[in-house]
Formats: sequence, C-alpha cells, structure tokens
Amino acid sequence: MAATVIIERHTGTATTDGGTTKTAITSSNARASTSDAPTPGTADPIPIPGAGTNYSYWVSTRLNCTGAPTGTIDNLNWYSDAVSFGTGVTVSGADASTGATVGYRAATGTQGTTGTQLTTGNHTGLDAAPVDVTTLTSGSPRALGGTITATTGRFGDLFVYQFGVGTSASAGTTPANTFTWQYDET
Amino acid sequence: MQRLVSPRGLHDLLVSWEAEYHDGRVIKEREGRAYADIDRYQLKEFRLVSPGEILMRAPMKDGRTGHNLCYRRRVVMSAATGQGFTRNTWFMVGFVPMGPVFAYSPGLDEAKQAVRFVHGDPLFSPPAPHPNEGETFSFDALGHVTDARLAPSRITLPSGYVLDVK
Repeated sequence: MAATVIIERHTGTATTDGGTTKTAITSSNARASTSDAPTPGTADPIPIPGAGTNYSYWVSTRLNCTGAPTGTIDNLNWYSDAVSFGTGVTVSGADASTGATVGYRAATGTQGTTGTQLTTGNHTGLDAAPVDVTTLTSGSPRALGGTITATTGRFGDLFVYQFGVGTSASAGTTPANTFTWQYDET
Repeated sequence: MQRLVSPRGLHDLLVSWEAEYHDGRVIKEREGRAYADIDRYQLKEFRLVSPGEILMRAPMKDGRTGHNLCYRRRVVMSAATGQGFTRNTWFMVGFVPMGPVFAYSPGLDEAKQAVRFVHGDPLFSPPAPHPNEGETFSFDALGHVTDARLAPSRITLPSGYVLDVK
C-alpha cells in the first residue's frame, strides 16, 4: 500500500546517513536562522548587514520513508513556489549527494551573525553550484537522485538551501514561501 | 478512461488499484499485490477503486495494451514557513507513449486529463520508466513521441475517454 514519507531537516555533525540530528519538518522548524538549531523558531535571525551579505546557516533536507511502499518510490523532484522573498533577500539551493555522509556537511558560521556561504567550495557535498530557488518551479524542478523499493529508510539526495540578506533588505519576517518535494510511487 | 464518481473528501489512502485479466481474474493492491506483479499480457482493464466503488476504469482497447499502461501515485509534499506541512496525492493513470493520461486527486477532489505525458508540465511530466515499462517510454526532451509508428498525427482520443468532471 501507500508509503509513509516525511521530510527531515539534518543538523549537527556528519554521520554515515547525514546529520547527527534529524528532525521532521513542521511549521516551527521550516525557518532558517544564523544557527544550526533544528527548530530555531525566531531565535538567531539573519541581521541586515551594513555592507555585503549575511547568510543563514544552510538548511539540509532529505526524505525519510517510515512506512514502506509496496513498490518503488522514484522520480524525486524539488521546487519552490517561485515567490520572491522580498527586496534584498535571496535563497539559493542545490542537491547534495557527493562523497561520504550521503553528501551532508554540517553548517558553519558565526552564530547570530552569518552562516558560511553555500558554495561548492564551502560545501563539498553539493552536486552542483547553488541556484536561486525561485528558478526551480513545478514545471522546471530540480531532479534529485535516489529511489527506495519495498523497505523503509532515508533515501534520495539531500536538498540544501540558504538565505542571503543584503543591505537593501527590510527588517521583519520574510513572506511565507512554499518548498515542495514531489515523488512517484507504485 | 472514464471517471465515474466524485467522492469529495476521500482520503488518498483509501484509493487503490485493481487489474482485471482477460480470464476474469482480478488482482488487487489492497490484497498486497505489487504493481510489478501485473501480468501485462493478460491485462484487460486497470481500475482505481475506493471501498465500495469504482473511481476510474482504464480498459485496454483501441490499440492500447497492458504494455502501454503506466500508473503512479504522484505525491506532492509542501512545507511553508510558518504554515506547516501539506501532502497531496495525484493518481496518474495513462498510456505510454500514445496517451491519454488521467490525474485524479481525492484530497482536492480534482481530476485532469492530458493528451500524453509531457516534459516540463507541472502535473503531467513523465515518470521514470520501470523495467516492465521501459520499452514504451519513447519520448524526446520536448516530450514528443519518438516512435514513428505512433506519430501524433495518427493518434486520436477515442470516444469513451471523455472526462466526466462533477
């Protein structure tokens, strides 16, 4: 019958199957912050810089099949609702599966100030350079690798994203945005 | 394919498939059978059902055989900042490569139809072929049929495949 699949946020040091801590995505922990906390709430917001860009700690997400499908889950895709995050705010993302620890790398930075910028140089698990996630839409999603058949477990590529806040940003909460995982199951 | 009922609010976990063979046997997902178990040489009709009713029928006719059938549960999981998590399932039933393709969401109580799977379409993008389907997935990057025997100009939607949306 139908599988049970959840989205998890990975934080902490790297292990063989991602971050040390894996937290199911709920409304309270879909926020990005300037810490590696799995459920930051409104703590450690990204300060507007006087010059340059401040970043959130990158957010690593991955699927976990907790109830096995009868058949196969495949054709994984990730996309956004293409809605702007506001003036001076950009979100970049990329899939990750390269190297050990299934492509997971712990987010780093200066807590309360800025995360380390998400680049292929700083995050060696990325499969490609990050792109503006508003360019990843339902008609042009990021295709992720990975399948799972008739069993449970974490599977597929990670999708890693990061907020960047520039000097022209306005203080306050960014508009709500929707990030989507899509897959096919038999 | 014909949509027979429109049960508002039907949970997607209550929807399953059945496969009827030419000899009258019916194998059912809710009895633990896997999609890969379907004997495509014997397939007469593929159905989506919920307890007590048939939601959709897809008979093998008009040149479409069991080897053209393609079925997927297409699950869309969205997480919105401050708004929580939503999950919706589209039941995709179609014929590859010639089409048509039918998508039904019990949670949204919506049904949609397309001439065929098309790359880049938000809902009707092609699935990844499975070992028992791979020989029929002949699309190019633009979603056009590449099999010359089934060129678009020779494909028509037969009567009986009109979507009855309630």
